[in-house]
Amino acid sequence: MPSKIKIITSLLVLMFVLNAGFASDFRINALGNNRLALVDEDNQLNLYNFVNNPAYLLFDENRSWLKFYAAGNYYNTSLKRQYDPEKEQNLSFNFHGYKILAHNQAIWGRIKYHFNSKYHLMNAIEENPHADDPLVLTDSLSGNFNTDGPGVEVLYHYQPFSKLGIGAGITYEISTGLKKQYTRPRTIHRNFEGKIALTYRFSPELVFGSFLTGSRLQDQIELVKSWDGKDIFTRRYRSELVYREIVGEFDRYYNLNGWHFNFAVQYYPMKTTVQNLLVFDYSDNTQETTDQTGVNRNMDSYWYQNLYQLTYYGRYILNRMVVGLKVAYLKQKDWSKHPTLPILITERSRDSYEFGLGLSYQFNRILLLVEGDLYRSNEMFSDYQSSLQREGYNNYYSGKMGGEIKIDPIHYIMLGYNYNYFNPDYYSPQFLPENKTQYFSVGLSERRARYEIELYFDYTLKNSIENTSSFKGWNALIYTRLYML
Amino acid sequence: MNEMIHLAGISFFALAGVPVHYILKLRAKYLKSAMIKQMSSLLLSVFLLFQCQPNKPSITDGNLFLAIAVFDTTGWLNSQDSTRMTPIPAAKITLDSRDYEKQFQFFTDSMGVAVISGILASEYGIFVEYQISTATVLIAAKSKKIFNTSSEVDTMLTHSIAMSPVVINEIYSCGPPNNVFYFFDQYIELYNQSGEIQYLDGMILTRVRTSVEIEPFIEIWDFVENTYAFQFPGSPGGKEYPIYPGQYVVVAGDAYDHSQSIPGAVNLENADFECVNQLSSDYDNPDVPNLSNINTARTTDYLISLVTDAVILADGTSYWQNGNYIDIPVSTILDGVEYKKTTSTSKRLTRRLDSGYTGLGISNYSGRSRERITPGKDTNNSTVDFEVIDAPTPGYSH
Repeated sequence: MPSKIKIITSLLVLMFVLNAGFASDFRINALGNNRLALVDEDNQLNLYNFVNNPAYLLFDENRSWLKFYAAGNYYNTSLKRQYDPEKEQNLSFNFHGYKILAHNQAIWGRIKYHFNSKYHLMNAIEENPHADDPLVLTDSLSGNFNTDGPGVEVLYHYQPFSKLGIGAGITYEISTGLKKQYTRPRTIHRNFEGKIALTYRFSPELVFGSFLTGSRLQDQIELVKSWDGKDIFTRRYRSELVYREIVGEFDRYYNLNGWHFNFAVQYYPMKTTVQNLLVFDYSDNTQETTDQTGVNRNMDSYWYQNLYQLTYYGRYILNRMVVGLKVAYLKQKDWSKHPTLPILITERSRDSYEFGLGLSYQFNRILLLVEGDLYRSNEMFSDYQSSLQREGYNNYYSGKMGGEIKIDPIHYIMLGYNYNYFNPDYYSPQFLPENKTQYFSVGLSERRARYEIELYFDYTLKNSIENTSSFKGWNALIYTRLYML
Repeated sequence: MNEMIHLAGISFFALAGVPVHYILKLRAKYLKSAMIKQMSSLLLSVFLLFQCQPNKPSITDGNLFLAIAVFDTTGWLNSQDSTRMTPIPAAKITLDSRDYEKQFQFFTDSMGVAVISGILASEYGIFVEYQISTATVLIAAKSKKIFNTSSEVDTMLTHSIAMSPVVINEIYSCGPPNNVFYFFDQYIELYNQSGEIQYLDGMILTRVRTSVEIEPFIEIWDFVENTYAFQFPGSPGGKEYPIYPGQYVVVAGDAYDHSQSIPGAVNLENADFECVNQLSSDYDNPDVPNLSNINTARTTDYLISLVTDAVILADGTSYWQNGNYIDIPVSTILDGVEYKKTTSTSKRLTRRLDSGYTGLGISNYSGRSRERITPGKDTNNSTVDFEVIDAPTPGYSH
């Protein structure tokens, strides 16, 4: 026991040293992002793992547990868009818990705290200037931006009848940020989501599920004159090239209200050897931007987006071999208009198709995985205000390989490799040039009946096709899960 | 299973936009199970949400249209019949957006008409200029909202202004870079753009009074109301204080070497004139002649706003005290320049004196200045006559 405490203590120390990012899909990432054919407790082709429907939680998780992970990442890049930072690092600490409350009730919760630092962020004074909306607020200098804040998420599942499941979920995140250079904007990011869900089990083989999520995201930017009396001098872009220069103090509010509807069918016609999941998603988002000076509030922009997606996942388990399949269609469009008049400023659309095929084979001590993904989209971007028009096909493909070696009954080594090729993304107002990405990953794990400990590291290298710019970054993570009796 | 097929069918009809009452009939006919009916109600509610998308506007920005006909009513272009409206060909039209940092320039055709397309939805300041001679310009100005695609047609009638031989050439007011709110190195630079000697005797330099309340009247009044007014020595029409062709004259708030107080501030020790308020214990450099305060309600030195204000130069032949202010007839004003740091503030000087403004982007304590692009060149539109420069240039051009 003392040796275990020593191991855990040293891992905790290591966790603080590592700068890491996000990692709920730790094993998938360690195996080179091979998701389609990987049979894993946290990667089952069902309504919870693939769709996040809380009304299926109890059927997915049959043991209570506590999970902790710390994750961090760092990158520096010259392959970047106009407002991207040259360097960025993230560090997050996450506690998850899952508890079976009764034979028909379960609850899942997560608390996290996240630190983010962006370096040499050119002009941008928003946390996410390359979000889907075309609106950007800038100042005249580059600077460093730090944000941090907590997040809480709770999911609940209740099964009033054997066939009917009811679920609910709440997410709340808040973070504050500060750019350390003039104009020293302070940002406050708040995100709230509420979800209600249903599942109906016609039979163990056929399950219908649906959920509706409402969300409200508010980003507030406070621009206040600093002690040295210097005026706040900003540019409000309503499109890619057209802006208004403003001198003076004000607060900007981005209010994004959205809802998301999901309907999914899970069908296992041959018990567990053939698994099918058909998912339909629709989401609808509206963003209104207002600027407040003193007590006066003026609307500065309006943006709307909607998205339809139909996805089929299949998994065919043939003794030691598993074949995974994904076919998806996505239709996305958005537009922005003058804040008070019916005049269209920008308009975009994207029709995309995705096809993925994965294979895994379990040898005695070795699990091998390969996966290929093809993505093609027809993209159109019209910026009427800036007289810009872009249209074209964006092709993306990736090849993935992964392997897991069982050293002994409880210890495993995982390796992964990815190769991705990207065309320019014409849908994005500011897009990256044609580039290729290579991704190498390694993971170590100890899996016992009562607990799991995992270590993970990956390294990503991106290059523009002309090799004129590049991206280098890494992620690291430590993860523990303790099963409750 | 049959019911599932019916449910799927009804969902399909709902997505396809079939009217709700028809879907409800279908539901009543085919769906018998209460559970299925409840599910169909839920799905129906969700599909109704799909119908709540906002309407995408059909008019696109950057595609709006304006036609302007420009006429002379002064008789300059048709001296035989000065009552007739004469079209002005090749007049320059400037559209200055109030909402974006965008300016569009066009010229009228032989019929005096300019058709302007491809403009953004915005409120614009529209300025018309047509130079008749080196001393006279025909101008017109108005503000207009252009917000729809139907062809907007407008007429602009010009009036003439005589170009002053002495003009305001530079205004430095924002203060040097500093953290102690020091801005006392302000100065105004004058320039003789004519080919003859002019005399500054008795001329008046002012700071224009402006507030939101009086702004609607500035185009109606025949006078300009001023907060500060300082008069050159001598009497109007006198010949004691000459300004030679091409000469710069620097009028300082205080003719003092301000760099001794704040590094980087302007040395105005050798200014040509300084403003001294005889009603207070103002700094007075004995080697520099003074402009004296003529507003008896003011006991402070000549100070102008750091980044947003207006200044006029008048010949000094007529003015009167009006309460706390000095009123000066427009007809006696030689030049006026408006400056502001942002487009969002309202106009404070009549367009008869300055149809534009300068100084956009200058912030407090930035050490920047505003100067005519070409010394003395005055088209009555500071937006196009002036530019922002990174450092003040007292007594010379940048």
